[in-house]
Amino acid sequence: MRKSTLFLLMLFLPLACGAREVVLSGSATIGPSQRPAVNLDVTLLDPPGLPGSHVKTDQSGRFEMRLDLPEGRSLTTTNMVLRLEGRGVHAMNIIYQNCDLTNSNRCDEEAINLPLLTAKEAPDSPGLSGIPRIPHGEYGLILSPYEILPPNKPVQIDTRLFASTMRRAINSHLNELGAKPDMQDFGRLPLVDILTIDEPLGSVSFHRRRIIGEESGAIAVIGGLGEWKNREGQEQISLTTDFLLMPPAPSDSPLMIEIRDPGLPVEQFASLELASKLSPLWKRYSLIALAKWELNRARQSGDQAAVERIYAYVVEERSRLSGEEQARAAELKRLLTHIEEARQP
Amino acid sequence: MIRHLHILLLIIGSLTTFSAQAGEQIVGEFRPGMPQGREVLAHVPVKVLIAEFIDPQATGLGKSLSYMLWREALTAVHDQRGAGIIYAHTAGDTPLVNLLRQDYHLAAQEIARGQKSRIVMWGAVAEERGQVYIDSYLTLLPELIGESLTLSLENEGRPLPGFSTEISRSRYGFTQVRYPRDRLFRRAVIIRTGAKLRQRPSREAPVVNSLPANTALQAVDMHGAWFKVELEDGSKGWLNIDQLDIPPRTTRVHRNGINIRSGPGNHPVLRNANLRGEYPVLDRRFVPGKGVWYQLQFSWGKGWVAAFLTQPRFTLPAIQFLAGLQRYQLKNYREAAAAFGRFVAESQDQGSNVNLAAALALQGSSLLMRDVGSRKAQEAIMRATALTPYDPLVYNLRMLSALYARGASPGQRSEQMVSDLEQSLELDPRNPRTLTLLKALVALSRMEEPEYRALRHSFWIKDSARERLDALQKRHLDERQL
Repeated sequence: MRKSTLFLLMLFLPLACGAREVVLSGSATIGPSQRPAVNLDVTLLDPPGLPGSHVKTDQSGRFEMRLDLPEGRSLTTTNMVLRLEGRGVHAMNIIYQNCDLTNSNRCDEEAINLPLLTAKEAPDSPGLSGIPRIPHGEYGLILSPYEILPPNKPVQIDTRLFASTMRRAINSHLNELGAKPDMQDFGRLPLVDILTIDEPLGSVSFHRRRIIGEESGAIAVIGGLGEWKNREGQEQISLTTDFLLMPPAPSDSPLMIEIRDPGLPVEQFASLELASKLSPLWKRYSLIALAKWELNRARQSGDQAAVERIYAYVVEERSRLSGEEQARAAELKRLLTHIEEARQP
Repeated sequence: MIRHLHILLLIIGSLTTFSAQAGEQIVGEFRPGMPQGREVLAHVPVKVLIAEFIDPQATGLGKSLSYMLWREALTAVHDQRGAGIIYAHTAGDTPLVNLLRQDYHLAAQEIARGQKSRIVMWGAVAEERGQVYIDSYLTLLPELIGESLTLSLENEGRPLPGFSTEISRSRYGFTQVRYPRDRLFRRAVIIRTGAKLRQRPSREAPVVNSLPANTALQAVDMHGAWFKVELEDGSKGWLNIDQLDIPPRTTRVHRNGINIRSGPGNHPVLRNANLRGEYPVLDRRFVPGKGVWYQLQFSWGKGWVAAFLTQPRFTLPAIQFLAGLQRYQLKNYREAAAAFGRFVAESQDQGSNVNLAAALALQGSSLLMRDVGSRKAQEAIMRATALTPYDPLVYNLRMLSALYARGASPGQRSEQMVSDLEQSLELDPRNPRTLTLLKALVALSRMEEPEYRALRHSFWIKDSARERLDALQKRHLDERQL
């Protein structure tokens, strides 16, 4: 049985000359038992900014979202993104592509199943020795060694060199974002460090990674797998990286992002070219992680200037997206919405 | 211990027959807070500073490459009055900044600020397995740039109040460029006023030969400020960069019916050809009344072509971008547009969408400053919008380009302008420039300023656009004031 299937019931009212209401409803369940997901936050990320695009699931796990479409605003579902999150479950972004709202008022109903996130899941590695602690007031990512498949291949990625390369690339990116004239008054976002650990995390549980993130105080925990291949005499490694964004508030859920870097020549892992060959999502999600933590800090300390600064950085990050990155744009829009809430006096 | 700052004066402009640009070197050791000595090229309005690229492996490539980039930048703006390029470096093998103690980028900015240079180019170079990797950046200093990189609309020579927007960021990071080590310094160099060929890269080394002015040679390598050159007889020696002109590495030509001549200017035509491709530059001359000419290497031999028919290429596409920024600030919009166009052409395959969009936006702005109704400007800005559709800046530019758009009715223009403002404010509702544009459009729609009334025959706002504009005003201006 598929772990997650998507059922959405969408009632689409005929397009009228004026404003109109679109109703979106569905149901969510939790874990293998598929019990109803109660009091989950359900948010429509893309298209962004529509009134009524945030609701909660009820006692039976159902939700109903009434969207107020302004006059002249059309709605397509080719790239609609729905986000579900709540305490104790693995947050999910659902990109829905199969509902045709232009020709019908109804879509097939599917159920969204969210994996459990609970302390009852058994950790598969004993102890927490060797986990560095990021100093209070600083921000860092934890990078673990990649496990290379197949296991008998004598190929290794130098984790420290990799960390050094990405540290430079991420901070250079942050500096570039912060270089607009109207940001000069706010100062720069703090830099991000990357600390390495010896324990590979490519095949450990989600719970274990979360524990490492909480113990270290990291804003993200990075680990993954590398698949070795020989293509026409050239050795290549394809990386699949799990980028676990740690929430600043312990009661919130982490967010797991998968980043793929296919077909990297082995020699590039010891090369100055490496950073330019890796996916831009490394830099993007580092910024998102940093922005969430900085926003949390700024809110708690009442630092409005820091809130404005984060807002400016995220706007600048989004301004660099290409037209194909609609889902990423929606993600950043949601972050901006949170920041906007903090900007209100 | 604080060392004295040494300033070497090298005013190239006065030593060439056609160069209007000026170049100087400043040599010293930077420390935060230390006085930098006098400002060089104080008479030049738009200065760029190239800071010696950092060289983490201490191979000496940082200094050599930076010298070369400095001279290429001078070549790129050789005909531009008011443009100056300063090269900041340290003597000998000492790096510009002790990286253990200081931030290189901040150091480069401080030096540029001290020299009142509006833009600083900086970067890093490293070598690995026979390949050289170059990372380059431009930082623009807002306090010195001021309003010189904005697009402002006028009507009959008078500014339209509120209809302006910034067109540039403060920092650009360019795609890493890679060269085989043995090709990096392989290029033509031309002796300017006679030079001594030396046995080693040092002024104290024995002289091997004396070479006359206008001798074109092939450089094969570089060490510090010295090029290693190869003569036709196969012998080699060293020439200091101070004695040389550095033409572009290659130049692209894409034209039909070009006269290829036996010499620069009015020399006999060797053949008339349709040229498509990129050709190595072997020599460069200025002919009074005829401009600059390049001698190019073709598959069948050599010949001279008028430079204005070609598109020169340098070591880094960033040099074109830099030249474009300088020319724009000096209001040479035609050449600025050409420079940004060359950057786009060079970076098409490997450039980031962000830099390509920036160059297209700058190209479009340059074209608009020459001709407010320019269709090519609108096309460039449209391409920029397609590349970065979440950037409020491109919608601001597109809004301005719509005001005088040819082929559009006044009502269509107003619809487009309101749509662009809606997009821009959706992306960043608090951008002060966008809010200013909104105020200006509201005022224009009501013809509130005398300058706007001059447009009453070419601009009017449709009812549907007015309703949307009123909604924008209510949401973004009126409610903010409350």
